[in-house]
Amino acid sequence: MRRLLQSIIYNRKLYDRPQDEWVCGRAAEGCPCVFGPGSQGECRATSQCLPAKQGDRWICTRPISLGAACETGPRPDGACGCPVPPCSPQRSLRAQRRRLTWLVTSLALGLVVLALWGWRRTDWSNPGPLTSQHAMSAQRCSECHLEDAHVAFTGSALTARQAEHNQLCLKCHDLGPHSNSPHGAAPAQLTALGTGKKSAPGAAPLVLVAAQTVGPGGPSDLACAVCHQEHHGRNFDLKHMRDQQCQVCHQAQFASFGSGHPEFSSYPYERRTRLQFDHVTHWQKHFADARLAALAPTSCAQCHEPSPDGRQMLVRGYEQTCANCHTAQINGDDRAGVKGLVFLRLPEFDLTALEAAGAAVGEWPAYAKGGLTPFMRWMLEQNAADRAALGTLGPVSLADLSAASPAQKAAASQVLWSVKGLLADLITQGQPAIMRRSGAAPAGTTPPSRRTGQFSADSLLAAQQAWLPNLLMEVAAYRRGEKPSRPVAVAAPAVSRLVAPVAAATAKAADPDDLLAEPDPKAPAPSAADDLLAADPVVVAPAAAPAVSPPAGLEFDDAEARVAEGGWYRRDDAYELYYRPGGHADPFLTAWLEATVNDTRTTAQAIFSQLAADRAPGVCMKCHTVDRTETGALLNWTAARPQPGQRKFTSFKHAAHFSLMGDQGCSTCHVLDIKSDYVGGFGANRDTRVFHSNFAPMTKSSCTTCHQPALAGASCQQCHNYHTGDLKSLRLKAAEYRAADKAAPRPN
Amino acid sequence: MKTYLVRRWVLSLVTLLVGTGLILSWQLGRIALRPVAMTTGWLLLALVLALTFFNARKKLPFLPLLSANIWLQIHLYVGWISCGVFVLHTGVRLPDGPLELVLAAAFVLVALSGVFGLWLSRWLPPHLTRSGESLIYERIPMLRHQLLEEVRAIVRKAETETQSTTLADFYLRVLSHYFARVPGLLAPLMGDDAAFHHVRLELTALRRFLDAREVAFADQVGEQLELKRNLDAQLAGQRLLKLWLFAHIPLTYGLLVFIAAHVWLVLQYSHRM
Repeated sequence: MRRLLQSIIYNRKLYDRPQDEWVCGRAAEGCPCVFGPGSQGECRATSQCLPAKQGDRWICTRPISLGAACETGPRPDGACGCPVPPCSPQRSLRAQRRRLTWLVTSLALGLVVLALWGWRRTDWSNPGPLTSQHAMSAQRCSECHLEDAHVAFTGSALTARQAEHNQLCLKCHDLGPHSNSPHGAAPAQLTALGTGKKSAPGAAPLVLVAAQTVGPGGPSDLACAVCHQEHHGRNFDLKHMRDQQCQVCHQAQFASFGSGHPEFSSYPYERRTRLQFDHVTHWQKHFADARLAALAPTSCAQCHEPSPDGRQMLVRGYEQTCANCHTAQINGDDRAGVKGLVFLRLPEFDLTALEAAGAAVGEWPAYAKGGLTPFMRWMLEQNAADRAALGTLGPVSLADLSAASPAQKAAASQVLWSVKGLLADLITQGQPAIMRRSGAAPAGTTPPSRRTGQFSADSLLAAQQAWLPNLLMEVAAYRRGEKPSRPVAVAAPAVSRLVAPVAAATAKAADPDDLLAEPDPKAPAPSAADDLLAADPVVVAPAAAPAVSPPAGLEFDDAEARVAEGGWYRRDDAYELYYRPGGHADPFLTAWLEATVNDTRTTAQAIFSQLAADRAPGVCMKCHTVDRTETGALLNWTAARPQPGQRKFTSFKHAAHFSLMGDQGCSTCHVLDIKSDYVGGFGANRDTRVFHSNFAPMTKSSCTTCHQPALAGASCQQCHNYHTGDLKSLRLKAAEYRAADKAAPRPN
Repeated sequence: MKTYLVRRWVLSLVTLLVGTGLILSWQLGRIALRPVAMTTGWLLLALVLALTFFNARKKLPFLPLLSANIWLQIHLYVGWISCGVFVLHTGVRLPDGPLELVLAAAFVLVALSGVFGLWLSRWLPPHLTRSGESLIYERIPMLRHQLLEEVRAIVRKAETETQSTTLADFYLRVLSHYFARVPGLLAPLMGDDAAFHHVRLELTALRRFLDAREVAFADQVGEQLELKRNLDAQLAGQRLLKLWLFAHIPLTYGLLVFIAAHVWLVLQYSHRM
């Protein structure tokens, strides 16, 4: 039997104190003292025992484990006879561990204090680098975090704190009034999007069904941080989402794009085109016409080109597409009848009735026809008095005042003089008068200057010389408060269609008796006595003599023909001044269309209707359309263009798919629908969602050929965007914020 | 033994089920866009505090809070669960911030030291039991000193009785060093028996030069050699069983400090609660 090292005899065992802070320094030598070290680590041993007194004797009390009573015994004074030299107590193992624990804890505490309040606290307490998008703008924690607010513990306080944090994100990222709503959509829009959406039986994956039981983290209050988690490195993808995370809120859930994703209903034709262009009739009828073979395009790429980012297919400019065939329609060359637009006219007045009512009429052609043109009415209505007069007139015709009340006759008289005044202003002031009488342009539209159409005051002056030779003197007298009597009625001009070009008429002297005479600078000015109406020298314009007939051997072309490239001309037989469009994107037409499209006044709508009519000069609205928007109407001057501030639910990159086109080219995906009533979506309709596309909707199968997880990928984010709508304000607000941030003082 | 195995299987199964449930919940929470990092964070904090309370429980034996053995079992299995929750909390990725990196490193070190301690506590005791007499750790230095004295006495007696210095020379050259030596910290893991075998081989070789009386003393020395071998094994093994706590416990308290800072930072800065 092997000998045991440790004694198992009870009174031979030593008393161990492993829990004590200190251990006797002699323990390692096998003779620890019975007292052990003190709590502060001091040696308390002076002897091997504390002798006890029995009667008059001292007895040794050394324990058996140390050899029991010694032979020498205690000294007479009661001191132990076996003194023990002091030792150096050692810390126990437990004490050493405790000291280490305190040391490590203190180090950790120091590190934490340094990290949270040290001079490099931003670096130390930063949970990780920001993404490159935020790294430049967010240099201070307080830009994105509520540093000064108290830490929240209760549920409501946490919710409020989260909302405040969210506002810090929205400080730069303005996502609209419903930023916390899914997709930033209004509740009504969300409801509409979800209406009728439901997963097919068994189509919803089990994991999504289970996730519904957890309760999706929205949709009533989606914080930015739900999806975008920062501080994960420069190149961390803030926008990455798993397909299941995209679907968890959706009512119609499915396994993948290839399995369960709803079939396309109208994609990508989600609204009518901005330009009315019937692909079916053009490709099947016009381009197939042998007479147009040289002009017609032979491929889609002749009219369409990819946008710089390759996403959108754009329509090339007018000159590259429509100009070959449609320019003559626009400038009127191919047009039967009047090629210009009536801008001014001397309207027919019931002069007899006016005179009978005692109104001073002055000079006015006896054979004037027609009423005020919408343009004249527009310009007259800018004046409050004229507007009131026109209002008083109401539906009464200026040409027949027999049934008019005295007030209406007075109003008609005022309108007559207002028309004269308008003509005088246009003659004497020219384009500024039009601009002044056009009113202010709505924000975002073309400036009023373009509404003048480069109006020539001289052309009107020439017309005035032919129509109302005394107009300027009459207006001057009227404005002085005099009442000019009516002279002999002006007959219709002798030459009605062969009037002189405007430029030629402007240099003539203002002598009514000698229309073709050169002005004599030495001739005395006509005296007031000679002048029946005492012309105001300020108002009187240089006299102009309308050309009556060309010299022998010369012949005037038609007035319209002489302004084939656009401009102003007149018809003396009808006392009318016309404007002929100069080609595509004529400034005069576009400016007036824009000025009136959103104006609900009767006059404005009359102008718009005149310009937008099917057969209107310029035929602008044959191709260009008007969309009804939330703020009114929007004139589409161009086809769809990339709008960086606008983001739709679906995203597609055309350029990436060019190499996949088959022999049919674009028709691989865009198949003409020859039965579609494309034109029916236009006309009076302004709702962009009511339309019939020229093309059949695409099918999902054309995408799933490649878009599978193992091939081109089939994640939601490849084709869909979460944040949609107008994101323009996002950049604007960020720019404003950066500017303010630069100006703000920074702490050291 | 059967009860022990059943308990181990049952608790392991429960731990596995709880872990699987946590992983599934975490996964579903992520899909449902719930703040899983926050949820797992609070859960992890609760688990770490519960684990730490085991140490406190040992210092409060007077409280009727289950037995230390049950606490140890809870500590072990909750420890495994907390490791899983930690992985979920970090999102199975390395933290990016310095403080979070230190926090994660502290947790990993605590967990690793705990796993190491668990392994030691399972692997070493049978070895120590097989080694020989079980000794009280605190008395081992004294016993080593006692063994040295005994060997010295045997050698001195042999020298006196045999008038030969062969054993005494051997003592001076070999035995004194061997009986005074303290094994290395990792001796149980490294298999530190080489010194013993070396001395025993030398003693065996020496026997050819000893007479019968000296051989009897050499045999006594041989017995002392065996005792020293066990003493060394007990010292090294028990010391290691205590030393792993020098990493586990101090790091745990350091970890608590880092956790407190982390929680404060999260409450102060997090956009999602």
